[in-house]
Formats: sequence, C-alpha cells, structure tokens
Amino acid sequence: MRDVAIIGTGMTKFGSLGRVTSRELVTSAALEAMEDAGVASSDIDAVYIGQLSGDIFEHQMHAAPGIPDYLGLPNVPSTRVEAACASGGLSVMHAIMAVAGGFYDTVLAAGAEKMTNLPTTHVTEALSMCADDVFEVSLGVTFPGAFAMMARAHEKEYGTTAEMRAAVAVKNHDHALLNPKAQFHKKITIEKVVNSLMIADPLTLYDCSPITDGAAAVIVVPWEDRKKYDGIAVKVRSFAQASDTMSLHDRKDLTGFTTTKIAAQKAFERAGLEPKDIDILEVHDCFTIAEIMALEDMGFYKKGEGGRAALDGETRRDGSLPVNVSGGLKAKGHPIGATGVAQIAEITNQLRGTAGRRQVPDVEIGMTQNLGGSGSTIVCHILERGD
Amino acid sequence: MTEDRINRVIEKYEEEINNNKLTGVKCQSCGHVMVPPRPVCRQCRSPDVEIVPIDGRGKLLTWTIIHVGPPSYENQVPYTVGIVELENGERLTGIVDIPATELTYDLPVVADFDAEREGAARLRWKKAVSGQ
Repeated sequence: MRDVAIIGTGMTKFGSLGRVTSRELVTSAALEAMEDAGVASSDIDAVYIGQLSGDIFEHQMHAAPGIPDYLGLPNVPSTRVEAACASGGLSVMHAIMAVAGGFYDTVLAAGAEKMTNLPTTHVTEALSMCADDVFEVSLGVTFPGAFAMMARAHEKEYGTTAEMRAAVAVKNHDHALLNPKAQFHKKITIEKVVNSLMIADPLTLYDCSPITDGAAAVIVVPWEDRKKYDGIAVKVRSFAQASDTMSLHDRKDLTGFTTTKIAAQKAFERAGLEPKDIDILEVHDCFTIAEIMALEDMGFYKKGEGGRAALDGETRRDGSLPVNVSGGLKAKGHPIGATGVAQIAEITNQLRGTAGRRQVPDVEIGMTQNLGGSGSTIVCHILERGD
Repeated sequence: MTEDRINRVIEKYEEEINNNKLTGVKCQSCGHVMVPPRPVCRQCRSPDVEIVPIDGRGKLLTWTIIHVGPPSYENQVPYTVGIVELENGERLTGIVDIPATELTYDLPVVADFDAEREGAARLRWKKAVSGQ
C-alpha cells in the first residue's frame, strides 16, 4: 500500500445558492481544487462524489457521471458514495483507498448537496429517511428529535446544560465570521440560542445546523508523487470507519456514539498517535450536543467534560484545542454530501498554512470526524503537515 | 421461516401490532429475546428466530417534544417521542401520550396502539397505572 497525500482543496460558497445544480457546484469546487493542486483535468483518473439525495432534492439520481461530464472528462470512472451525512467523508476515504491500493494516481474526491429547492418540512422528511424508516421515522422521529433525546440523556447523566450546548453554537458562529465562504456571518449569544424557536425540545433553532447548498472537493495523489505538482501536500496519516444500528433505541448508551469511539480509536492506532498529538479538529456539529459528544467519544475530554470545555472557551480558535475553526456545520453550513469533504479541506488548509484570516498558528496534525444518521456511520481521518 | 426462505420479521411484527399485540423474536438457539424483531440474533448470530409475544410494560428513558415535524406529522405538532426500556431490557421508540409536565426519567409506561395508523406506526406509550 502507498502513502497518500492531499494536494488541493476547493469549495463553493455555502448558503442558499438559487437556481444551480449540484453538478455545477461540484464543477466549481473541483476546478478550484485542481488549480490549487496544480493538477490538469486531463490528469484526473477517477472521481468520487459524496451525495445524500440528488433524487429528492433535485430530481436527479446517478450523480456520479455528471461530474466528469461537466469537467470535460466524460469517460473517467465516477462513483457516488451515499452514507447519509457521512457521504462526503466516505467519498474521500474511498479515494484514499483507491490511491493507496495503486488502482488510481490522481483522484478527485468531492461532495455536494442542493437542499434549498424544498421547503423545510420536506427537507426534514428527506433527512429523516436516514433513520430507521419502520421503527423510528414512522413514529414521528426527526433528526433534531433523535439528537434531542440524546441531549436529554446527556443532561441527565452528566448535567450538560442548555448554556453549555449554546456555547458550541456561539463559538462556531464566531469562527464563521472569519470564513468568507460560510453560510452565516452573524454573531450570536448564549441567550439568543437558548431563547430561540424550539425545534425538538430541548434543542432550539440555534442548536441545529442549517439547510445549505454547496460543494467541496479535494485532490488525492500518492505521497511519492506529491512533488510532481505545485500544490502543497498534507499526508494522510490514517482513516477509520465504523457502523452501528440504524435505530438509536437499539444502543445501550444514549449519551454518545460507540461508532465515534471505535473509528477514532482505530484512526489513532493506525497512525500511532493519541488525542494529545492532535492540534486541530473539525467534528460533526450537526447539532450542538453532537460536537460535545464527539469530543468526549474521540477521547479529547472525559464523558461529561465536553460541555464545560465549550463554556470555558477551550475549543475556540485561540483555545487549547481549536475545534471547527471553519465555523463547523453549525455556521459554515451543512450541504450534506459536501460536509465531510469540506472538513478535510479545512484541516488540509490549516496544516498547510493556507487557511487565510482564520489560520491557527503552528498546527501540524489535524483530525476530522464525520457522522451519518444518528451516528450509524462514522468516519475519521488524521492528516499531517507535509514536507 | 417462510417457504421463500425470506425471514419476514417486520411483516409478522406489523400483523400482530395491527391486532394491538406487541411482539419480538426469540432466538431458538440461545434464547435471547429481541424487540423490535430482527432476522439474526444479536447475541449468537443465529438466523433461527421465532416471533413471541412481548409484555408492553416499561420505563421512559428519554424523550423529546417535536415542534417541527415531517409532513406526515405536521398537523400533530407539538408531539412527544420517547425511547422506552421494556422489562426485559429491550428498547423501542414511540409517540408518548403523556402531558409534558408529567414526563420524568424512568416513568412507568405501557404500550398502546393508535387505531388510526397501520403497522409499526401504531405504537404509542401511555402512563402505566398501578396493577397494569
């Protein structure tokens, strides 16, 4: 197996983008990533595209060939990866595996979703299809509802308060102020989060990530080939994936995700690293409680300490463990298929020193955690600054 | 197992719940009981499972009051959904027909059935009264 590098990143503006298709969005992100990498489109020998649902959002299935088609590469093999909100992270993981295995040398890994075509209730319904249709969704469960039940269980077990959860939202909105491509550039307060519209008690509107259009892309090449291109390389140290039951009720622990624990632990083992070695993180804050649980389950905080850490500012850009400096799903936006790719793009840019105004100084090793369903799929990546 | 060798545990569960009966499956190999039913034993991986009746009494582990629902529940908001642990330790999700002010952790509940719906969607939870 070959070591693998990421040498280019691209991302559209995230937000409500009007009359545009996701393949146009991917094309923009891909062209930006190829330019950043110094890779010609004729170099691309495979494409992976993370997408939850072109069918429901755009009346378009078979997303994969549309990407090389629009890039002028109609015969390049292209594969769609669907794993709910972890589609993007798994798209990059499959690109890494294909390059590591020697099957391809220059791979475009992208992700996109065009969600704002539908009204909110229909988006809520589409997303809820990622839960167990028979034993959860038919009984009125929504994703805010599933995470709300976990927030309540976490509150009971560890005393995690609404203010602690709100601190995650306030932080990620502050971070997004420095990200020109983020959906929101709006400072919020703990009071605003706690007092905003109730979505699924105890989670309010500002505990939830928004409905977003957008695409992201990265270029994956063998580590040994990195000097062939102008792009600055980061090294993929490891990745790991885990699955769990479709239904939340089929798991003993309602205060976290076994999948996150397994995927993070495997990623650490494969890289020969520990949580203390990680300088910067992008984790899946689809809801504020999700960021708290992710940091605990990955081993950065003991169970019950994640909420306090947010409230004390430890996870802010200038804190001891910067988390979601991009603005996270919460404020950068959450175009489902693009999210996991955008996380990897952010860590790549931070490690290369190309993150612009939000650059965190002296970061060498970064990690991502991308979640699908109510944690039924988790994928983690660990990246390291190149030479 | 049916003659077509497809283990239709969900269909059997729904047939029974349409008659207001809660069921699970019992592994014929190790005796483990699972609710909701599944085609392979979670404990010993045996595919030899049979539908069995399940006692609908349990306690409320966690819940949420949903204010923004999908189209099929839009006209019912706000409604409460909870996860209940049955007396055998298995767990199920369902609509909770208990006023918000009375909801507490470990509240004793009992399965109830929505006459207006079909299949798995019929499951609801109501407050258990003593002796029930």
